[in-house]
Amino acid sequence: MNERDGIRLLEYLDRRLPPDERAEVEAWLKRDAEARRLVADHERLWALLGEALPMPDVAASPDFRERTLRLAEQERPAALLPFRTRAVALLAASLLVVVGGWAWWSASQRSGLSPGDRAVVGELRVLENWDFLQAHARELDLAVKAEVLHHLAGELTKEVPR
Amino acid sequence: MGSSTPTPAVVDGRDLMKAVSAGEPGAFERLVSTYESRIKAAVARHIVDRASVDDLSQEVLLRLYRARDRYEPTARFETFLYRIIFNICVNHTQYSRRRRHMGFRQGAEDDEPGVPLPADDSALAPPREIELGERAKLLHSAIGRLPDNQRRALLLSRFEGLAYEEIATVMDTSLQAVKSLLWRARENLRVSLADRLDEATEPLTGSEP
Repeated sequence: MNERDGIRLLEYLDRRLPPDERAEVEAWLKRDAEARRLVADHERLWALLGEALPMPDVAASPDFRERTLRLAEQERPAALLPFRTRAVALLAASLLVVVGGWAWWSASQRSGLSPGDRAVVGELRVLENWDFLQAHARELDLAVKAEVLHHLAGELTKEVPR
Repeated sequence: MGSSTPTPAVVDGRDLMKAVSAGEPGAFERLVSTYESRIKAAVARHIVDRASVDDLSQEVLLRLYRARDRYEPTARFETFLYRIIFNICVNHTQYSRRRRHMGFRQGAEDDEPGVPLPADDSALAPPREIELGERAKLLHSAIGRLPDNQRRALLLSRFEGLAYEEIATVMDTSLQAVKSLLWRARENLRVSLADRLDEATEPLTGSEP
């Protein structure tokens, strides 16, 4: 018998076939004495497996239970809290980092320069450049002077943030 | 009939495992009590050296415990459980074989894996027990000669009562492969017992206990 037919018989024996396919196999068995004998052998073998092979002698024992629970207990520190609690703790820690980070950033912004201060700093920079230009007027060639003046003009026309 | 013995409550492994995952006090203890015998029996069927049954069963339970956070109660709990049992037993068998190849022989029992033999107490046993013992030895020997995967599929099907799909999950193989393994296992058994099948399946002559 080929494996395909064998598997079909297996499913028949294990009552895994839908009714129409089961009827087909039964019709086949009516026609084929060899297949009938095979099915009968397999039915006897299956029953024998269940009847003759004992359950292994593996009684439950308090000692086994105690040892297992003790070993499990030893593993607890690695995961002291249940999963959901740990997930919530992780979420809370993440939120803390985000809120803390925002608070720090916000504080640093507050302690930094105000728009008015930044405008003054910009003007000081213009004055420094102007002083630099005056101090080195003799040494600088025309192109550099033009460049510095151009830069100063840009700085002076910049809109001061409010 | 009319017995007053209370029917044991049906315990759903999924519920127990969910309780273990949630860290419910005593949940793991309940899981151990409920499944200890079943796990030991399954391990004893799958390995050859009986001395390791307790250690491996304990390892199964500890793996269940470690897996409590990952456990997804989508499939039957038994499928999840037998997958752990199966992997532990396969690893153990492979490890034992490697040791044997390296010269650490454990005993003659190693030659016939798979199914437990009844204790050899034939001198005291009633006739029915003796006959059952003989049949068990016959079957034990035939099952022990099956290729590993066929034997494992057969044990999961006949003794653990798993459906083909569950066996496929446990053995990490396809449904078609499971059907093929099961058919070949049963056919090989039938052929190897061909001469003895009539004798083995005759009604027992000893009286019922």
